[in-house]
Amino acid sequence: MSDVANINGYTESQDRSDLDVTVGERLLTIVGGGALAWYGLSRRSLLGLATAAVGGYAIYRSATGHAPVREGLSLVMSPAEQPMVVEETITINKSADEVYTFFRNPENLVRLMDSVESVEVQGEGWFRWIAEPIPGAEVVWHEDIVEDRPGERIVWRVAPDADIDSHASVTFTPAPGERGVETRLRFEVYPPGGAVGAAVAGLFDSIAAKRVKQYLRHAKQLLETGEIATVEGQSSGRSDVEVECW
Amino acid sequence: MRAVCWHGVHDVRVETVPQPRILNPRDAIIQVTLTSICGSDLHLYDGYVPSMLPGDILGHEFMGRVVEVGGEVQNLEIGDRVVVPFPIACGQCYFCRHEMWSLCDNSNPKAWMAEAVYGYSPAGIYGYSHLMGGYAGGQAEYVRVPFADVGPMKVPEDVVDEQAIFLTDTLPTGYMAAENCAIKAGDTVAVWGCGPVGQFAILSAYLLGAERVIGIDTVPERLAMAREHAGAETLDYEATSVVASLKELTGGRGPDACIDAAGMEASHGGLEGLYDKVKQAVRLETGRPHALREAIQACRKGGVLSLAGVYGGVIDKVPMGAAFNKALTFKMGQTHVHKYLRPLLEHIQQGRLNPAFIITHRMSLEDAAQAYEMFKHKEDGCVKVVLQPAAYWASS
Ligand SMILES: NC(=O)c1ccc[n+]([C@@H]2O[C@H](COP(=O)([O-])OP(=O)(O)OC[C@H]3O[C@@H](n4cnc5c(N)ncnc54)[C@H](O)[C@@H]3O)[C@@H](O)[C@H]2O)c1
Ligand SMILES: [Zn+2]
Ligand SMILES: [Zn+2]
Repeated sequence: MSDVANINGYTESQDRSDLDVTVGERLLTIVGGGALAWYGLSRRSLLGLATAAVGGYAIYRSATGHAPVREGLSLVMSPAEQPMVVEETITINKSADEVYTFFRNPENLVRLMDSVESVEVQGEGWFRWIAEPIPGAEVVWHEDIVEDRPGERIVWRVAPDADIDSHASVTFTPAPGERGVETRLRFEVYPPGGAVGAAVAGLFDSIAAKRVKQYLRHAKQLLETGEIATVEGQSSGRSDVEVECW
Repeated sequence: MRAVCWHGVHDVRVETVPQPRILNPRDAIIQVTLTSICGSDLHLYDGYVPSMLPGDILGHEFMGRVVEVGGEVQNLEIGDRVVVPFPIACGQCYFCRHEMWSLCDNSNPKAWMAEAVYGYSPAGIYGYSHLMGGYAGGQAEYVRVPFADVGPMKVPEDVVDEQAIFLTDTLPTGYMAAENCAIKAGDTVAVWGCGPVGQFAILSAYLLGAERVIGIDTVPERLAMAREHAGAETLDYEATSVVASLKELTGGRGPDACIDAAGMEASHGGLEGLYDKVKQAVRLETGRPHALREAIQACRKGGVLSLAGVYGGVIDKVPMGAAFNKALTFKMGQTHVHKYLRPLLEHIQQGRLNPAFIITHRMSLEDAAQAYEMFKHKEDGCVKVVLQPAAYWASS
């Protein structure tokens, strides 16, 4: 077996013959995020930020066939079970306080993440999130701000009763020469083993990074211009709605 | 409404499509009074720009009247007559604040795609592939204009459409190409390509103080236009060795600055031309950089190479050794149109520039398919086509 990459605690293998591939894991590789949403739905489990981050997108990509779905299962958890991490950075042409205030308001987070339906403040820093990564598959979870440093950093963590522990953080660092604020958004997920672990891992590939980068772009656009650039709903000589090509 | 839609290589159709609507608070809807076909559209027409989808509405040179504005647009009123810069720019990001409008950080909704190809995403552009945002273009009766509080410039009623339309792209592109040459007294500037961009580059080089400008092309009427309207000396690249002739014309020094206004589909005879045609056809390279290669070779030591012609992907056999060892400066990019709108409008109003001379054909938008063919093959002496939507066509 030859390791081609070892990123964030999972190993990607080219040779599948000696992998322990379970039926559930195979299912996952076919439906991508679908397995995760199914799991979340049937167990009413609180998958939290991981779902918000990537669930809907992975489903969309595999359903529309626009992204390469992995052939067979090529992901195994390494025994270390370190968190899987997606981290992306963008520079926003605003002050650290303005960017912090923006991220601290849950209503703004809903605007960034297209699979998230709503976030309710439940007092004492608790939030109740509702996401619908696929139509009809509602996922609900609670999370808490565990670190709150105005102008510097916010860390969210899902409630302890969640099946999968995950955090998200956003960190603000002033860029040199009045170039704004370097804004670093990071998702960390501690996956369980087995099929679900693999499901979570499957979401944390490059698709997840792209999605997280898109959230940051939306934040930058809202902060700098007051709106999110879009072509959705514009006219064309196609009868279908605008879709992403490639 | 009627719109020119791309359906594949050499396949554009005028179709009835839904009316555009306001999608964001800073949008406006413009009723197009005049639009034109740009040399850049030919790169789409010929299929050299990736990520086009059948049904995409073409066109990035257009002007018209404001018919609707979003809630955040305070500077425009219904009925205002405006020209619209082809790059879409927010006005608030680092790049817009530093007058690098075509590099706006916030106007490409599909920035991830451009980032994958170019490392970072430039601004969105109307009707110029999904890599550049997938925005519907302005070869149509109506067009949605994002960031309408920043881009569109009102045109005084005494400047007619045919004089104003090229402020959207072609005129500032020629001007920026010349400005990038950092022209000093006594300078000779050579311009590859005497299409619309080349014509304006020649005029602008004179305006910016060039002593001599030499236009290079092979199409007789374009060379004639460069001599008669723009005042250039000319060279026919099919009839002479351009590099040798330029050396000869400049006392052995070479031009101080060279402008490539031909771009990725430059043509060339002989083996070199065949080599690039084949490679481009199988997409091993995405451009045929003949003008660029020649310009690098011809440029004097320590000179400037200014690229207005568009390149989209990878090109081959660029004589980097010549560029490096002669210490050339390269300047290039999509034009920062917003920066040039007002100064160039003033040139037009003062009579120093009258850009309408490049128009050889006035047609109805309905005849766009024929217009593309004619412009591409330079038939009937075609240098520049302007298109009028039917409503205006009938009334004029
Ligand atoms: N930078 C920008 O923002 C910007 C804006 C507009 C247009 N453009 C680009 O500028 C270029 C010219 O645009 P245009 O509208 O004038 O197009 P055009 O196609 O009408 O003109 C190109 C001219 O180059 C000539 N040519 C071809 N091969 C040549 C060679 N080897 N040597 C010399 N001349 C040669 C052609 O005969 C033609 O006259 C295109 O690549 C276009 O995409 C860039
Ligand atoms: Zn153009
Ligand atoms: Zn901008």
